[in-house]
Amino acid sequence: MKAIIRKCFPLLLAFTVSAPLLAQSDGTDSIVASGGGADCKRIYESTMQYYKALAHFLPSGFKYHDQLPTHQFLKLSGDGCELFDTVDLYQRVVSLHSQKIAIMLPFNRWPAVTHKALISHIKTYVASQGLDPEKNLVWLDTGGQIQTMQEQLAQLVFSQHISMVIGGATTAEAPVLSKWGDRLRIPTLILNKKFDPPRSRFVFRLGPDNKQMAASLVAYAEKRGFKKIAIIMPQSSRDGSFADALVGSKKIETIGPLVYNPSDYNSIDIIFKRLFHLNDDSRKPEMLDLVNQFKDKAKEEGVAFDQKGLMLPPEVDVDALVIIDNFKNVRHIAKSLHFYGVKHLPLLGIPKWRAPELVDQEEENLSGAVFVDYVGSYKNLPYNIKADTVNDENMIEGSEASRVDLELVVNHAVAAAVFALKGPKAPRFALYKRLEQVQPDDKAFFGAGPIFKPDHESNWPSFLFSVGGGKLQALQGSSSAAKPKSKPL
Amino acid sequence: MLSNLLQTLKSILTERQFLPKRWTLIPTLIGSILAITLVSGISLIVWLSSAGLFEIDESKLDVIVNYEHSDNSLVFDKSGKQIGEFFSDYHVYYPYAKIPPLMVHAVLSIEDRSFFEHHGLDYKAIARAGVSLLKTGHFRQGASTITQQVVRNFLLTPERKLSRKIKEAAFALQLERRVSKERILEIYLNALFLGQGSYGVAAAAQRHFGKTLDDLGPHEIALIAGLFQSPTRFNPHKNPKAAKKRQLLVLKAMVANGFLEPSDYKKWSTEPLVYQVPASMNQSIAPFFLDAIQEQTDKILQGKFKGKGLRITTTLDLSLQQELNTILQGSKSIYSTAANALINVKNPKESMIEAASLVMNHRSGEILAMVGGRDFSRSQFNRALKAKRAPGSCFKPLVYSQALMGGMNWSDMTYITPIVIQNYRPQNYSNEFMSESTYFNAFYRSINTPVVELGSRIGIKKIIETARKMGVKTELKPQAGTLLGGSEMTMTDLAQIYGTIGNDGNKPDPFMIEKITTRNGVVVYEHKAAPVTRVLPPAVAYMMTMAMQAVFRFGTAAKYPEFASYAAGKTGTTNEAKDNWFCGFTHDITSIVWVGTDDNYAFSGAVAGASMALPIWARMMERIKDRYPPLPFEMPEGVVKKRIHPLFGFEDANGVEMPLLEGRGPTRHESTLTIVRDTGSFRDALDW
Repeated sequence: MKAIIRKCFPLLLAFTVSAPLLAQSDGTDSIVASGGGADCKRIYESTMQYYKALAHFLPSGFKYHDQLPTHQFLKLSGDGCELFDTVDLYQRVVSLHSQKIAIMLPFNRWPAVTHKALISHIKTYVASQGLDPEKNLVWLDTGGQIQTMQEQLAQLVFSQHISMVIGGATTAEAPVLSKWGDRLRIPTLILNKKFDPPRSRFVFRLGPDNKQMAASLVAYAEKRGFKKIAIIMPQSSRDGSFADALVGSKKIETIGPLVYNPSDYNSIDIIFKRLFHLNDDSRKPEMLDLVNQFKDKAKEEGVAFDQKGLMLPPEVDVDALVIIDNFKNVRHIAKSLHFYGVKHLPLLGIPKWRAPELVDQEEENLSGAVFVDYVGSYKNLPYNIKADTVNDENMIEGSEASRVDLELVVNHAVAAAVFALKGPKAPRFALYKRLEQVQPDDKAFFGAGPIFKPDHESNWPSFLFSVGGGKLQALQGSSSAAKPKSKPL
Repeated sequence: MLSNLLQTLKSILTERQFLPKRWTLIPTLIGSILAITLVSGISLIVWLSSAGLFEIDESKLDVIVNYEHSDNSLVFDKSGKQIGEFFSDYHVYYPYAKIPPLMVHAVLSIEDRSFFEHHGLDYKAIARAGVSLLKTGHFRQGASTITQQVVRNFLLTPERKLSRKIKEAAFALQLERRVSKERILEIYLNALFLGQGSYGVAAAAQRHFGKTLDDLGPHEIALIAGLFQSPTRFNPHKNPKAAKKRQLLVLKAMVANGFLEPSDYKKWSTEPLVYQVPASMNQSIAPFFLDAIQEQTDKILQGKFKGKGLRITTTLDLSLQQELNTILQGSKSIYSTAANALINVKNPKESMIEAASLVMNHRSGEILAMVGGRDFSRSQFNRALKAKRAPGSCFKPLVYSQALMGGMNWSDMTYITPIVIQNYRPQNYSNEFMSESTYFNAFYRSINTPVVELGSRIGIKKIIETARKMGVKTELKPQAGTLLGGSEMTMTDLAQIYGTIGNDGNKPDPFMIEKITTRNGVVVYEHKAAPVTRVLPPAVAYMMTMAMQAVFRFGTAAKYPEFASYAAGKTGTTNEAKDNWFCGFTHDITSIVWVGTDDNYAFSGAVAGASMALPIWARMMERIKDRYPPLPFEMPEGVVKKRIHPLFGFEDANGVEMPLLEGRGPTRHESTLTIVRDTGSFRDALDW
């Protein structure tokens, strides 16, 4: 008996340790068909080889535990399909998880105040959901470095056996993380706004979506009867995808995006002179007439004639101007339109417009301007996110804006992950199904319907605001505008 | 003739045709003599009558009897030091008692040695002249007394006619009865022309020798004494040999009359005569100022002051003026640099560069010093008073003052973009579009577009009206360019603007003449201070002052931060640097400097108000500070100081100290603009 116990002890230990990690699987959860052979090799090629690839990112001296299925698998030479229970092992590897949510973000990119506040907030939220932040959350600072992120991912998978990953905040990290998530069959929530997730059961994109916001703006423009809009944006802009989405909508004729250097006003001058036909060759005779007219007038009045001050009246053949830039440059651009004789041209914009400084001084050309955002009123934010408003409920101090954005998005991702974890125990690879079903707590903010659309894109609302009278006003019925159609995976 | 007559009479009588022989000879002789005498007497009377002797009107002598000597009008600085004199003819009055005795003796020796003995005529001299007339038929020998010369000078023509001589004699006799000898001599020695535009011996001493009468040596006295006979013929500057000959004659006469020892004659006859025309005080100390004084005096007294011997006390501070002269003349390196920077000028010369300056006590209105140009002898045009030049950015304080009165706060922020107003599209000096600034920062960095914006909101007419209230006299053009100082004005106009701000918002009343009196001390004019006119509230004046102190701390005059504690100022540079200004003030003193060219030549980019006018101003201010130690600018009630972010206008402990009206100013302690400035982006945490 003693000998049997001695022999079986390691197995017993392995079972004891991995019992909470192993989730029950039902037949539908099983992505591993029983039996070996072709399935084994298929599974290895589609999934298991990537575990081995990820293992290369483990540090030298990494301690393997023979009892753990993931470590056992790594010890297999080749696909191990010649062994009878290899497929079972595969099953256990992709199922094993520790009820831990990994949050991998480039914290060093944000001010220390912001990420400390974010971590604290998320911990509070997780605790409020009946989970233990110390046990159920793991935080990693990727530093925005791919190598670091992969090394960290390896640790998360082989050491901590995480259940889900939330990350991919940067355009560099997002595709890499999503590929790992897909290949390793680990539910992965990508946060980068511009990322187009691959069609994968395991990868989800959560957060504001430039395409969606652009669609909202286009819908608004259509409603206003705009047929043609000009788009201008600064060089090295991070909102190129917004511009692309506007151009790609094909519902309204677009000019541009016309690109300028915000540090060099001359580049803006060139754009406006072109856009408003101020230097067109066809208008040279008109300019000559104007010069002569003012020359005569100056002579009559006995004053010096300065041709530099003369400009033809603008020819405005667009219905609106979209400025894909932050509020600071928007103020400059809106004000400088007067210089070209352009007044009351409708202006449209993006979330980066939203700051108290957009409206704290009256600007005629901004009156009635509209911009789209992914945050509604700051007064009643979901997840108990708090922010002190400035002047009205739609504005907060700029220094708070990034914190609120991050808390909102990360908390929403964590909420989805927590929902997926809290249900009946399921193998890790099957958690994606839970994610597909998760509904937002705060329907007032996020609207009705699941957090994710069938294509695993975020079902994030858009909000339109108009500018005027020193305030921002939410346009009625503007939230959750047209959702692009998506096919389920 | 007489002998013939007698002969004829004798022959008639001896022919016994008319009278008995013996007993009628004597009565006949007597009768004849009487008849001849009668006829002669009648003829003489007739002749004298025809000569006008009986038409002598004694009242004509009144002009001599009541003679008031002419005198140069003298100009003094505020502490009583003479700085100049005005005259049409050059007079220097010396009362008889003060005339050096040797001068009197020399004149008497050569002109009228028995002056104190006769009663107007020297009969011996007349007799000598009569004999000469009979012998030669001409008046060759002079017999005129000093008294006669005075009469001739005042009443008669100088022609040599017997009739004129008789009249002269008659007047001379009458004059002696009415006026004392000393007085006649005094008039003689002060009123007669002695060459080189001088009247009187003291004036002659100045004009011939550059000395006062008291400083003349006997050889020089002799020369002057010799001039009375013919100041033209004996003018030493034109006829030195004749003058020398005459001088020797005078010296001999002095010896002959016992006024000079024979041994002295040798010494003084060989003593060199050094003729000097002294540098005109008018041209050397404050020529432009004096020019202006003359003009003003003319205006006040309506031209009635030349030769009246007025005493004009001005506001000039002579010592300060001299220091200012030295500084402006000593700034050659600046002028040289400027000349090298001239563009589109063939053969640019340093002499083409001009400068002007004005210093005024804005509390009292006294003009303390003035330089109207670099070289009065080259150009008398007073650029400090009369040149109308564009002030450039020096005009901005006027616009900002008006904006502050209208409710603007220094902490208010503006976006600096191109703007247009009435087809006027101003450029910024350093192309600062797409940046942000508080108005405070925009002011001390002299950014253009914010001023134009403010000005267009206020209205150009209102700004021009405020300028008028401050005392600007030049008509400003009601166009947008005026807001950036494109409308020409004088330096005094600018002094009014800066003086108003420096004077706590009260318009200064500049003046140059304190008082004008006659030589006897009778006041004919005295400056009366105008009633105080408030143009700006004290709080606005103070806030404007602090902003101009910031020009030294952080702005276009930051090379001279040491002035910030007690001075305020503004640079001004017009298009192509044709005009380069610095206008500044302390608690009491406003001073302005301009550098440019009379022909409005342009300079290359190296030249600006900060590099041309400011260094000169700084040197001036060092001197002004020594003489008029500055008090601190007092903060009035209702103004507070806060530290504000200079670009974004929020309260910031590391910001720039700005003056604000109590209860006004920013309410926020941060700005999203800081995030954009520091990181280059906003709300892009998920866009990386």
